[in-house]
Amino acid sequence: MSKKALREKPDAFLETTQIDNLSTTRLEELKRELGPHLLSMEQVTPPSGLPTGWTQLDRFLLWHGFPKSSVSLLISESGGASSLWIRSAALVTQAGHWAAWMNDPHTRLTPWSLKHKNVDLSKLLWVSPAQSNKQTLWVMQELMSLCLFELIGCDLGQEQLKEHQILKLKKLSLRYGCAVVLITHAKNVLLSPFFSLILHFQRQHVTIIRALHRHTPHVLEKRDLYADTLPLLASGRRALCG
Amino acid sequence: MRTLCLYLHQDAEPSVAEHFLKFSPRIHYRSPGLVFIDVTSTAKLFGGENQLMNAALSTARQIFPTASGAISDTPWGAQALLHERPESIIPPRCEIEELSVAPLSLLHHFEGLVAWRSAHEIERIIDFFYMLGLNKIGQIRQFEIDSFRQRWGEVGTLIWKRLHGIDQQIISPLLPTEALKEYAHLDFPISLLPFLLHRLEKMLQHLIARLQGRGEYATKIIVRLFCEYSAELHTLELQPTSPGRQFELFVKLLENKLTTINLDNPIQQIEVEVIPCPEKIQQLSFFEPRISDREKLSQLMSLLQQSGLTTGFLQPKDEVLPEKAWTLTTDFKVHQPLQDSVTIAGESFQIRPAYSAALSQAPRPSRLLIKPRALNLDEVKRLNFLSTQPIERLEDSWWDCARGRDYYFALSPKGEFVWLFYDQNEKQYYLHGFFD
Repeated sequence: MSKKALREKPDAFLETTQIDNLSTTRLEELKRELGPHLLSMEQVTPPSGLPTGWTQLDRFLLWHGFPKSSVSLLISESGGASSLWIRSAALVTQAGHWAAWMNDPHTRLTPWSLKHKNVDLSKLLWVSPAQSNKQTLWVMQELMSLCLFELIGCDLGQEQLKEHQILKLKKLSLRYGCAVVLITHAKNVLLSPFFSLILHFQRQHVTIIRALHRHTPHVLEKRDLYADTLPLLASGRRALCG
Repeated sequence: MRTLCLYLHQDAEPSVAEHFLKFSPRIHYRSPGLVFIDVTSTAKLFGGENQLMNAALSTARQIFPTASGAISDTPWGAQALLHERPESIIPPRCEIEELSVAPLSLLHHFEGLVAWRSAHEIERIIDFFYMLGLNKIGQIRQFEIDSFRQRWGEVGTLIWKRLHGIDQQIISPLLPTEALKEYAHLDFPISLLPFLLHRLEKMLQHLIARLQGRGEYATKIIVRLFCEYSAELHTLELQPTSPGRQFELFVKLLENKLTTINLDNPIQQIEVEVIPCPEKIQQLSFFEPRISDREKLSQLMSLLQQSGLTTGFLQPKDEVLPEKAWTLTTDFKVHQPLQDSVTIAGESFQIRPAYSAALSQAPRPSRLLIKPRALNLDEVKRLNFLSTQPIERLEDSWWDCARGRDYYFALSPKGEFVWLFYDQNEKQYYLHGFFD
């Protein structure tokens, strides 16, 4: 090949077959060298989770949603935590799985709101508020031990769980493969290392305080959470009833 | 006739026969601990006599762990075989030959449905034949009936007839008439919860086995615990949301109830009563799991209800006021939306509009306060209203006690998206929910 031709097509002197042979041998060598250290597909699959339907959050988290077999904590300082849980419950129940919700003593979930958010109410079990933390734990244990619920939500209100109680819940969720989501409205919250995911709902943002294998704190804009409320308002339905 | 004889190795109440009603309606219980079951026509339903005996034994061993059984042509033959070769079966019409090689002492067990009048009488007969040098049952069959009758009278005749397979014993159908009650008096009163629970578990197990045999469910179980001192009585009522006979569920309910009892005054007597109802028969698909999700949930609901918690499915209701627009049900029914109805008669038609149908589409907060909270003037001033005009006006029973609520959306100083209303009668703002 002339110098001119080589300048025009620098790679042309290497035949395709030669390249193929080289890459195959190199691959074989690499396989032989690193083979014992390679991980199987199952080992590199991220741990399973239940999507929340909030794309930015799901994309950021390793579990692509609320982690299964773990306990998550949502700190609702200025609202949004229930909506996020409801979104996830809608996806879970629509898939034919079961979800359970344990109320706090002062407020309750509105069935019409749940219906608007596409929650299959026939797959959502509602439990009235417990009289003490001890009873809350017992109810959670009973709910999990049925091996029926994929997602369990519990509104603690102003209450907080102790470290050993969280650990117990974590053990149970791991045993029964269920995603446990606790919601608290308390001001000073115990950020226990036993929570796999901690989200803090602030005025404008949601801060991811703790998430496995992710750089935290990470801030997300909260406005997406209320996006589904706006169409309802925009429809301009004003009912004058009587 | 083919008879299965079960020996429970301990004396029991005659009602124990009810445990085995699922194997045959013809059952007879005789003390001490002998159950005779006529399996002539039911063995094939269980896949043969062997399978039936195994199933009956496993039922018996749940309460009487050392129970044994045998099957033969006659009740006395089965009883004798049970003592000679437990858990064996003599093929039909081979009983006489099979038992002829058995030792003479087996005559003690040639009783069947009716026990020998006196064991001593049989002992004398056996001794007599031993003196003659006869020690096998087959060897005494050669004697005539008159020899037996002259020497031992009625008992002798009966033995001869049984040796020749002539005597007939018929097992009548068992009609369960005894009340589903269990009673226990404890010599050593119990003040420790695990011991009490263990005792009650046994009683429950027995009652549930009876319910199973009878084909019934328990609507309620009443446990009465009589204390040792001061004639104190604890009454516990276990009532699942739907009738059933799941042992585990009732034990859980019981355990839960017992934790609330003070056992300082020890328990001396226990009475457990079951209020039954007929079971619902359901044809299950072969491909469906034996315990359905609904059954699991029903158990859970019963358990939580027992602990004073309410549970169920949230069911939307067509009501104007948001706090009344839902109900809690144990069986979820799909909500049918309100629709205008049109009636056509001949060439005319009538439209009946469904008032408030649009309410089902109206925005509702995710969380509603159980009781609307009155807001003072300062709190109202701090709220940032999203509109000057109300978003929605709700008036219920205007002919009766209309409040006239004007609903607004607002942002709280913390940034919460709240739902509040202005009561036109009271001229007062109330916080009603959160778009949380």
